Formats: sequence, C-alpha cells, structure tokens
Amino acid sequence: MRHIPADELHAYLDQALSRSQCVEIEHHLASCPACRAERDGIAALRDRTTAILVAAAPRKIRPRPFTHLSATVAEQRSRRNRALRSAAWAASVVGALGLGWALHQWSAGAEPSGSQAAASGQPLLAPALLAATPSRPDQPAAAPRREQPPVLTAGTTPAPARGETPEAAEPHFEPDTPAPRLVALPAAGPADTVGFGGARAAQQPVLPGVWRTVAWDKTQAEREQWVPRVEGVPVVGVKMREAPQGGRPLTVVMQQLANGEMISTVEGPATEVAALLSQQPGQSASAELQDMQATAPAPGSTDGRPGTAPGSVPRTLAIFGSAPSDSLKALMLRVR
Amino acid sequence: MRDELETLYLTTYASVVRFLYRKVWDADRAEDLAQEVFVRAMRHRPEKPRAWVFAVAANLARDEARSAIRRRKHLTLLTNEPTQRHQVEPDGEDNVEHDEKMEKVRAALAELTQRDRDVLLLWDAGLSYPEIAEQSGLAVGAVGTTLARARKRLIEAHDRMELELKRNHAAHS
Repeated sequence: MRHIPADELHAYLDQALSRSQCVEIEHHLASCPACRAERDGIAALRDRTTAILVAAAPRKIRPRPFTHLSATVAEQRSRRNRALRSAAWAASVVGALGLGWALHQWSAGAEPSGSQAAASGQPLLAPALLAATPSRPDQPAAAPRREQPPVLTAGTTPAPARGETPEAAEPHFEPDTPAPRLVALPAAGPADTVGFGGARAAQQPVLPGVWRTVAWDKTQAEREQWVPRVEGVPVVGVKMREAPQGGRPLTVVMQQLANGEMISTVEGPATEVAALLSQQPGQSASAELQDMQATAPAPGSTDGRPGTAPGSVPRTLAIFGSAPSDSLKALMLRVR
Repeated sequence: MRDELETLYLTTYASVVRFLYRKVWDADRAEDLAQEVFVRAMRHRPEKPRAWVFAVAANLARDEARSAIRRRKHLTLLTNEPTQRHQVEPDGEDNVEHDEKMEKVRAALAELTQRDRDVLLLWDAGLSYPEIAEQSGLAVGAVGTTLARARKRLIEAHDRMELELKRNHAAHS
C-alpha cells in the first residue's frame, strides 16, 4: 500500500486538491495510522508557520476609506490630462516658431541654403498652416492649433532644434522687412476688415471648366509626371483639368504662405495658362510667365499616346496670387 | 451594487499590507505601497484582481528594497554610522517583546531562499495554489512541495533564533 507523500498532505490540508483526490486520501488515512500521524505532524507544522508569521505584521492596519482611493485616481487622471494638454500646446508653439523661422530664412535671402532646401523638401500639409501665426494667439485662426497633432508641425519643421528660434521668428513681424505678410491685397480690400478666413477665400483662384481635385500625395505617388510647386510652402490643394485632346493636363497647385496668402502655381499649354491667368481678378498683374519647352519632360510619353503629338504645344509655368510681382519672381526661383 | 474592486479592497487590504510589511519591514511604507497597489488596480481594472494585486505588490516591494539599499548606502556615507532599521516606540514591555518576536521572524525569513519565501508569503496572504503557481512560475504540483520545504525551514530557523536569543539573554544576566 502506497503511503501519502508529505507534499500531497500539505496540499490536502491547504485544500488545494480536487474532491476525488481528497476522497482517495481520506480513504487511505482511515486505514493507515502512519499517514495519520504524518498528517497531524504536518498540520502542526502548518499552524506553527501561521503563528510565527502573525508576529511579523504591523501592530495596526488602518485602511483609508475606499472613496479616498477613487479620489486619488480621479486626481491623477486629471493631472495627467493637464500635462498632456500643456505638452500639446508647447509642441504646437514650438512648431509655429519653427515655421516662422523657416519663412524668415526664406524671405531674408533669395537663395535658400542647401540644408534648408533639404529640410523643406517635404511638403507641409494643411493643418500645419494654422501654426503659422505664432505671436498672435488671439486670432480666431489660432484656436484649431490645439487640436492638431503636435507630431505634424514638430516633424516637418526641424528648425527649432537650432536654438535661435525666438529671435529668428521675431523679425518676420517687423514692419520694415520685406516679408510677404506686408504685401497689399489688391482684391481683398483693407486688411483689418477681412478676417483670416475671408482673405483666404478671396484669394482662391478662379478656375473655369471641369477640374478634378487631386490629393497631393497621390499626385506624387501615382502620376509620374512632374507637378511644379514652390518648394517649402504647404500645399493646400491640387486641381487638374484634362486637356481636350488627351494631352498633358493643366495643373494648379495651391499653396499658402505663412501670412495666409494663397499662391497658385499653374503649369500647362501656354494658351490655356494665359487664358486662366486672364481670368484671375485682382491677381493677374503679378503673373510670371516662363517658357517651359526646354525643361519640361516630353509630354505624352507617360500615357503612351504619341498620336496626339502634344510635344509641339509650347508649355508655360506661371505663379499667380495677390502678392506683388517681385515676390512672385522670388517664389519662381523656388519652383521645383 | 458594490464595485468588485471595493469588495477586494475591503477583504484583502490587510493581507496586502502584511505581505508588503514582510518585505519592506516598515509599517507606514507598507500601507503607502498597499494604497499605491489599489490605486493602480483601479486604473488598470485587471481581469484577475486578487492575483494581480499581489503581483504588483511584490514588484513594488522589490523596487522598494532596491532603493532602500541605495538609500542606506547613501546614509551610511553621509553619517558614517549604521542606520536604525526601524524605530522603536518608547513605551512599555509589550513593544519590546513585539519587536523581539518580529526580529526573529525577520531573521528566520531571511534564511529561506527567495522562492521559498515568496511562496510561503503568498500562501499566508491567502492565494490559492494555482495563483501562487502563476506568480512564482512554478507548476501547480510543485507548490505543495515548495510549501512543505519552506514551512519546515522557517520553523527550524525560527527555533534556532529563539535558542540564540535565550543564550544571549542568559549571557547578559
């Protein structure tokens, strides 16, 4: 007959065995005095352990009421939320200062430095624009900055890391720097009567005909053809009008400067570009024309329809907007 | 209906404090850590709250022990004298006796291996064999064996401490 091992008796006394195991052990104990003695010894050992450990306890344990715990948890939560909110706020301010610095760098010299050109090669997306009025948080346009993900501005404007941000951003708002913000808006009336949103709406290009709105990412990824834009300025929208004979379409890339002004880079057949420019009220004077025949890639080569032979059509690149023509000329240098 | 965690708090708080006390040997600190454990439980809402609470308590106690060692080293450097392990309240025979008992248990527990001690303390805190197994990484079948050994060793060590203490008392008087 098998005697019961000590660890099994421990488990039995600790009530850690199944019902059928217990029945089996009890059945054996009834007929085995040696195992009964062993069980009693283990029971005493067990009780002694408990008695020893009881001495190792604080003399008094005073549980605080459960409501105290809930209050602590609630307080920790709100503290964390506050911290998150202020972190997001700080990140957006840093992003805005960075953008201001980048723009100042651009407006200070005609040729941007190599590193800056590389840094601004990635187009900024629309929400980043809202961060472009760093020192005027009272403006209505500043409110949405809170909601924008801080990663966006922080990731796309590497400028704040260079440590000269506050000083660099400041001159941008001084009245005697040739910053684009100070450019008069011929079509929009006095600047102080037109809000941020209103001015932007007035600058929207007039686009007659059937236009397709294309996402900027898609333009880059799917169309192998070159879509010109001013580098380093956030793209707000891309419109495209197919050519009637299936040639290269007319593209308009709308971008917004830090001061809220809209500029549009248009590229397409010379006649159509000229026609489009003539239809822009209050903005036509500053159009800059450039013959693109020499540099544009052979049209039609990507869609494989040589029969249309659009290569003979002269193509034009132009920038229009409400900024004065010398500003647009400077912007033209940065078209890529 | 009463919150499940509230019930757990009311039924296990004292066990958690005792469990922590036997690791950090400071009553106030044990209560603070127990509070922290339940605050975390309320934030995380674990599936098996009882086992979870003791697992977190064990982790906090381990961190506490590490920082206590650092603190003690620091203090020793600063004052250049050994630090008191706990404060003895200056009132009556009762406390002296209590502290003496406590020291014996503490020394006896220190003689066990880490695993034996953990299993023994978890069992004393009221955890089931499967819960102990999950937390200690043992097979459920091995918990009984470990407990059998731990109990035996604790009693042996404790009796030895008692004997030494008696000898010391005799030598002093």
